Parts: sequence; C-alpha cells; structure tokens
Amino acid sequence: MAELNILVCVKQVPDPEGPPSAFEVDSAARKVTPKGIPPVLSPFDENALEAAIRVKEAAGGSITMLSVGNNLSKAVMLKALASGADRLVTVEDPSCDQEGLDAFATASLLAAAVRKAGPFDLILTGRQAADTNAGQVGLGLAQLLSIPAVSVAGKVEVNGGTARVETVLPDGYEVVEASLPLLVTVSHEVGDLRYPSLMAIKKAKTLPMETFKPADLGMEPGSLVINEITELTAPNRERRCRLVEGESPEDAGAKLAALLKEDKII
Amino acid sequence: MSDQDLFAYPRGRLHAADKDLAASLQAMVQKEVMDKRLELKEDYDGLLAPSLARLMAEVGLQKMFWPEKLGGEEHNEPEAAYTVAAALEQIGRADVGLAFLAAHSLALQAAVAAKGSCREELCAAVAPLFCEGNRPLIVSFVLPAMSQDGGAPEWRGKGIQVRAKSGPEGWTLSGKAVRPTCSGADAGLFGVLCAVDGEEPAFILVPGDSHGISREKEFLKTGLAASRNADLDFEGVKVPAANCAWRGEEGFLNLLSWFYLGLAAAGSGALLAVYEIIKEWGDNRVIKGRGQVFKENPLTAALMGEIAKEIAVDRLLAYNLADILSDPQAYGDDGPLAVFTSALMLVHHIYVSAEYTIHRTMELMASAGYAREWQLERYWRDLKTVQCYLGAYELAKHDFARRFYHTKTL
Amino acid sequence: MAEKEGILVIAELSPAGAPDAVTLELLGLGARLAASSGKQLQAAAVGIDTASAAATLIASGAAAVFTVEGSAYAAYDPDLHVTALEKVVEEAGPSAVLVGNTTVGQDLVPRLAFALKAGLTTDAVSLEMKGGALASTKPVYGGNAMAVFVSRGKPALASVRPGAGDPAKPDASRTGETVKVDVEAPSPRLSFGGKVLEEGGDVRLEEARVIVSGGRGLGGAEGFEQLRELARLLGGAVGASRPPVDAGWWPSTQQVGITGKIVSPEVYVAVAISGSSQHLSGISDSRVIVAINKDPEAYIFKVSDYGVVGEWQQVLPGLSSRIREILGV
Repeated sequence: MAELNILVCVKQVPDPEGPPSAFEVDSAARKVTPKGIPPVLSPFDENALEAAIRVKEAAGGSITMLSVGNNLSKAVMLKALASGADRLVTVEDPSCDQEGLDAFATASLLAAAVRKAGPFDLILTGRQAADTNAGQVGLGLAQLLSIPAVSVAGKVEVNGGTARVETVLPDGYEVVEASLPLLVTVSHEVGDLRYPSLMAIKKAKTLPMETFKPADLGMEPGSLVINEITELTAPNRERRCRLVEGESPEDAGAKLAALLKEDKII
Repeated sequence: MSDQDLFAYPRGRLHAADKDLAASLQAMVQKEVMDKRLELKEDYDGLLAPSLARLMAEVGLQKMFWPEKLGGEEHNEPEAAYTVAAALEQIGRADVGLAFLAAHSLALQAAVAAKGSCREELCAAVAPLFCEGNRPLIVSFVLPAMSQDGGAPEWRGKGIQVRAKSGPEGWTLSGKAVRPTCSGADAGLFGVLCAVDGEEPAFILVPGDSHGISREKEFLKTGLAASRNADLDFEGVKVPAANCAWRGEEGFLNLLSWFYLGLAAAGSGALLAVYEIIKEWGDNRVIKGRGQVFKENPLTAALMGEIAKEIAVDRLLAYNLADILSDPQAYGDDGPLAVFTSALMLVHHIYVSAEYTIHRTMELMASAGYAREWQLERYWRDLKTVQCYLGAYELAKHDFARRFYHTKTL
Repeated sequence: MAEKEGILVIAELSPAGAPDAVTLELLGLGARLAASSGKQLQAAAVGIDTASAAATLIASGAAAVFTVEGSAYAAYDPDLHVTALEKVVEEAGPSAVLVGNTTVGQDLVPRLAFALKAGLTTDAVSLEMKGGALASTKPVYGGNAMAVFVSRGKPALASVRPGAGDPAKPDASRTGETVKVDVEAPSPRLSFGGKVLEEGGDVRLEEARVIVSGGRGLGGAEGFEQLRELARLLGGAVGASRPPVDAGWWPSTQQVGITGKIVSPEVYVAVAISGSSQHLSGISDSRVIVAINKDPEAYIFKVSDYGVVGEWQQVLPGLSSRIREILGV
C-alpha cells in the first residue's frame, strides 16, 4: 500500500482551563470574548494529533494538520506541527470567525479543503471542541465526504488498509474495524499530546504550509450556516453556600451530617 | 507581557527556536510538575522520574548536541549556550533537582560533542546511550572533592576520588567510597575525573552498568529529591581506551564551565519561582491593623523590591555566562582557564545571592516561608544542596586569587 | 406526510426492544412542545421487532409511530440507522426531531443532521417552540455561557441531555397510528467486535441519587477508598474530577464533568475539588451540592449549597460516622 496519508482537523479555542471570569459574555453581540487567556489547540484535537503520531510511528505515513478559523495563532499552529505533523493547511478569513460559522459551515469548509489538499486515508478529529462542545463537525465531515466514521476513540491502529479502533463506552470499550478511508473522532483516553523536541521546533518552521480563502474553495461561509445563535447569556451558577463550622474539622463534618438530615437531604 | 519578562535578559540573542523550546518547557513543567506537586509532594517515582524521562528522552534534551548521524539533534554550536540557559531556567523554575540532572547531561554533551571537537571514536561509543531507544539517561560526575584520604592526588586543593591505569585493553578504574555529584543510585553514565600515576589526570566516561561498580544505599539528604544519590565503589572497572574524553585540564575546565552555566540558569529559574511566590504573598497579604497589603507598605515593599533586584541581577549574570560561552573571543579569548574562572565566579555569586534572597523572602512570609504548601522552603533546600555540590566557596576563592594575583604556590 | 407537522422523537430501544428512560423524557418534552405549537407528537423506532415499542410509545403520547424493522437493526450500526431514520424523517416531515444525548445519540444525530442538511443543537438542556420553530438552549464555553440556537429551515434537530425533562406517563387508553417505513439497508461499512466492559463503581454515575466525588486534593488512590465508604452509606456512586483520573487514581469511566459524565443527582458531594469550569458544567443540575475543601477561597463554595472548610482527612470521618448514627447502620 502507498504511504498512509493522515489528516488531523484541529480548532483553536480560548484556553478552556481559564477561570470563569476570563469568559466575558456579550449578550448584545451574542459572542463570548476571552479575557487574558491565550488561544490553545482544543484539547481533544491535541489527543487526535497524538493518535495520528502514534499511527504514523507504527505504520508510517505523513500527517497533515487542517484548521479553519480567523486570526489563527502561528505559535499555536507551529507548536502543534512540531509535536509531529508534516504539513499545515489552513482556511483563514474574517468570515471564518467562531461567531460566523456553525457546524455545517465548518464541516463544509473542511470537506472542500480535504478535496483540495487530499486525498487522505485516515481523518482524525477531536470528539468535540472545547468551546461549543457540540461534537458535530467530525461526524458531519465524514457524512459530507461519504466515508465511514467511528466516534469517541480511545485507541486507533492501522494495519494495511484496515483500521482498528477502540471506542470509549460509559462502562468499557468496543472494538470497531473498518477499511480506509475512515474518519475517527478521538477522546482523551488516547493520551496527551507529546512535547516537541528542539529539532522538531526548528523543523516546524520549514514544513510546507498552505492557506486557502473560502473563495479559493468556492465557498461563502455565511451562506452555509443553518443553525444560528439567537440569544447568549451568562448563566448564574452561584448558589448561596451555608458554611458549617465546628470546634474541630471532625466536629464540622458531624454538624454537616446533622444539618443535611435536618434539611431532609439525607 | 509575562511576569518572567519583567526580569531583563538578552532575549534578542536567543533564536526563535530557543524561545519556543523555553515556552514549551514552561508549559510542560507547569502541567507535569508544578500543578502536581501539591499532592505528589517530592515523590520520585510518581512525579520526578516521569518528568525527567519526558524532558530527557521525549523532549530530547539528552540528544541535543550529538551528531545527527548518531541520532542526535546536532545543535552543537557555541550559541547553544543560550539554548541551555533558556531551557534549564524553565526547568529550574519548576524543580531545581530536575534542572541539576539535566545540567549534567547538557554539560557533558557540550564538552564532548561540541561542533568541531567531537572525537568520532568517543562519540560513536557514547552517543548511543543518549540517542538510541527512548530511555532517559541520567549522567553523573565524579569530581574532585574535599578529601579525607590524605594520599589522594590533588586538583586545585581538592582530592581526586578515582585512580585510573591505562593498559593495552583500555582503562582500569579504582576508588572506594566515591561520592558522585548526583544520582549515584540511578545514573547510567558517570563522567569521572581520574588521577593517573605520574601523568595528567584523565576524564573517563564509565557506563553505569560496567562490571566492578557497586552502589551503596541511597543516602538521606534534605534537597534535590530528583537525585537519589549514593556512594560508589569502583573495583577494577574496565572501560575501552576510547572512553577517555580527554587528558589534562583544558577539557575538564570546559566541562565545568558548561556545568556551571546549567547550574546558574537553574538558580535563576528557581528565583523566578521565588518571585512568583513572594508576589502572590505581597499582592494579597494584609498587614493587621493597617489594612495595607504588603506591597503597598513602605517597609515591606522595600524588602520586596530588594528581592526583585537580586533576582533581576542574578538572571542577567546567568545569561552573561551563556554569552561568554557562546562567544569566548568577544571576551578576549584568554583560554579555558579564564572562562572557567568567570563561570565559577558567576555561579557562586548567583548561589550566594539566591540564599540571601530566599532568606529575605522567608522573613517576609514568616511561618509560611517554611511551610511546605508555599514551596519556598523547597527551593531553599534545593539551592543550598546544589551549593554543596558546587564545592567549597573558600576553595573557589583560591581559584579567583590564582587568576587575579598570579600566585605562585597557592 | 402526516396531516399536521410533527415533533418527532427518535426512540432508543433496550436490547429487549423497549423504549428507554430517556425516550420517555423526550416524549414528555415533545408533548409539551407539540401542545404549545399545535403540532403532532410523533415517534420513530428502529429495531428487529418494534411492535411492543410502538405500543409503549403510543401509550406515552405519540400520535403516530414510524417504524423500521429488520434483522439488520439488531444492534446499533450508525450507517444503517442513519439511512433508516433519514427515510423516516422524509416520510414524517416533522418540524423538529428530538434525540437523547446518550452514547448512541451522540454518535447518531450529527450524522443524521448532515444527511438531512438540517440544523442541529447537541446536548440541549431546554427546548421551546418560538414562532413555530424549535429553539434549543445549551451551555457553551464550558458552561460559562448559555446559547439559544434556532435553525434556518426544517427540520430542526436537537439532542437533549438526559434528565432535562419529566418522563411521559404511559396511559394504555391512548391511541395512535403505526406507520411502517420500508428501507433498503445499505451494506455495513463498520465491523463491531463486541463490547468489553470495565469495572466501574458499584452504582452507575448517571443513575446515582448521590454522588461523592474526589479531586486533586485527595492526593492519591487511597483517598478514594474513604469516599467509597461515604458513598456506600448514602447508597451512591463515587466520581472524580479530571486530575485524579489523569493521575490514574480512579477509572476514567467515573469522571464527572463536561469531558466525562454530566450528572444530575439529588446530592453531589465534592471533596477536595476546587471547581474548574469543566467540572462545574457537569454538576450544575445537581439538586444539592456539598463542598469540602481546605481553601476557603475555592470556587466550588460559590456554587455549593453546603460547605465545610477543612482538611478532608479530618472532616470526612466526622461526617461519615455521624451519618452512620443518623441512618442507624
């Protein structure tokens, strides 16, 4: 079989580990503005890249990283490339801003980019992005490309023209096999993305990089959107906490039990 | 601007890749070490050994200088001194012990595999230990020490711990109760300065699994948990002739200069962590009765200011040493002894200052200063332990005197 | 096409062929939406034999049930199920399609939406009909914002978080029509090698009335043994935030949070958990949240109903022994 062409689709998001105060909700503009937190690769996409690197280590091949967005951070993309990818393709434009796209528009742009930059034997994505947590784009992309897909993988292996995937279930896992080409959405059980070596960091800057505009792909993102945000609000999660004190921590624990009983909670 | 950048350093002299590596290491140690140490404390197997493995084998610090054809990264120009400084500073910020171990490996690589100086036979013999497989290799040194053995041959006022004999089959090393600089229990390669009867000392590389090395039980120490140190016995340890890195002083002085660069950078990094600790304290701690936070009170602010000054100067000094090693010509090219003396002065200066700075910080933080949760006391223990391995300051002063006063018999 | 536009609930069937608890919740929600917009409540069932499922769905409020039957549908295969449901949606022509945000639902509904080129909101926590269109609310940015989505065009799809609505109460006197839909099943592209079950807690997190969870501050796997004791006393399950799972102290199947299980127990006890956004989004539907943390500034106290500031090693024994007294065990 010819060299395995692996594609990893990644999304840049504001660091999801940021504190709640870092996400400023603008209800009028229906957008969330991150304050003082850096952009990062969506964590499950990092796992997808790690899965790709492991497949490449075991079966050979090359890894292309693909991202759609606006103002993509060069540092974020280079760092990811340095971890073990061979090539970067981006679709960048103001119209590809997070607010301007829904899952259908994003997957349509990705599909067009895949047709232009492909073909690919194995496409990996994160199971869901850390900002919307929707989990649509990966499976949707497979649908648009008319290739089979397996979701929420904890392990991905390729042997010849066949992939073996362990999908994560609430109480275990299931083994699924399919012929390539195949799309797999990846979960964190795969393992953390490795850190790049100095040599890889140096090399990343010299790797081939291509940028397309939506127009180059014959696309107009705004017209592809099906699902729109009509309202955006900051939730009030705060509750009034009754702090229980005692003569000692043990005593406070005992008093808590008594209070829970009194309030008919236990 | 990150808080670290408040402390000036010659960032324009760093290559983009150095900065990217430093940023990646900063993120890595934050996640792998700093975020986990509250619950894992200083656990060797749970926290430090896995982190060391990732740094050395995965990020590949142990491959940095070796030639590409031997599996290395061939990042071996003198300018790599900046890479070493930037990397070890970030690691030292998280854990001085990890940086201490990495400094051993990088110094040995710089001394043995620098561009133009890599002896093919030696590199071929040793590079595979660093570059093959993905196993972390811990490098340790056996350096001259304050001698108890009156008969030990001296090197600059200290006793050489191991004797070596050259024969047709290579070198044979012997030494009892030898104390290495780190990881006597775990090291995979020892760089040993050996006395040779009637000849110049030899610096010999000894794989940790060589026949005739026995390792004593790990001894207790208060700092540097990443290094499980133990004394060694060398009983007729045989290594091939190619394992002798060099004879005489020059190569050894060069090795020590790079080693001191690593320790200087680790110290600077630890002080950046100290800054973060005192900043959090000074931002939040209210002086009872006055309703003032520490940083707004004239007295405590002055102390905090002095702490920042010490840290700022130490960081500049550490990078100045990198600059010297990256381009000795610019400093007059007075030879390895001149560079060594500068390195020794700078590293001692930084560690004396670091001790002073942490003492001042502890005063401000009262009992929190030595409470484990605030981490300050750990940097204090670690830096003081590194100071022990730097060697006695009094003897170092003699080294300074030798150069500056042209002494004849000292 | 049916006479009235419908709200179509896609049933998830148990191995025995019965609609599961989430399906009944969807029917409850769907009935409310249908009533408020003058639409018809419909259901779809795909399986080997859907007769008894159809009866239950009708008893639970569906005016029409669309069924696809065949031995090919014995187990869930996304390609086969999507093809079948695409045909059902074509026949039924609903204005809204509801699916449970379960393991199967999460895998199925994006494929179905893209096959239909229809708008989809996943993990919706509340639904409403606005001007005849479905408006779905879901948390975004780790729960730091709530967004309402409306689709351009029809149908609009939503996968609904389990526990978001009250289940429909079956009433055997209800009547409705069953419409058999003939579908030619495509040949399978995926081969399923069987499930491997891993040992988790004693009680499933999603079904637990009480959950006791531990965080990074527990310091190790041993800490979880103590949580297990408290959970056993309260008849609950033991969960964990992400750090202990990453550290291998507790199985990843028991992780609570937006990247693990989203739970809605009566009582959630957070021990040594500081409260990251990811974790909080997974527990915000809990009725009562109790926090034990040594840091009085920990964010978890802001979102809790009861709290004790103290070392968990000391607070927990006091709590457990008193509960033992109260419960008389």
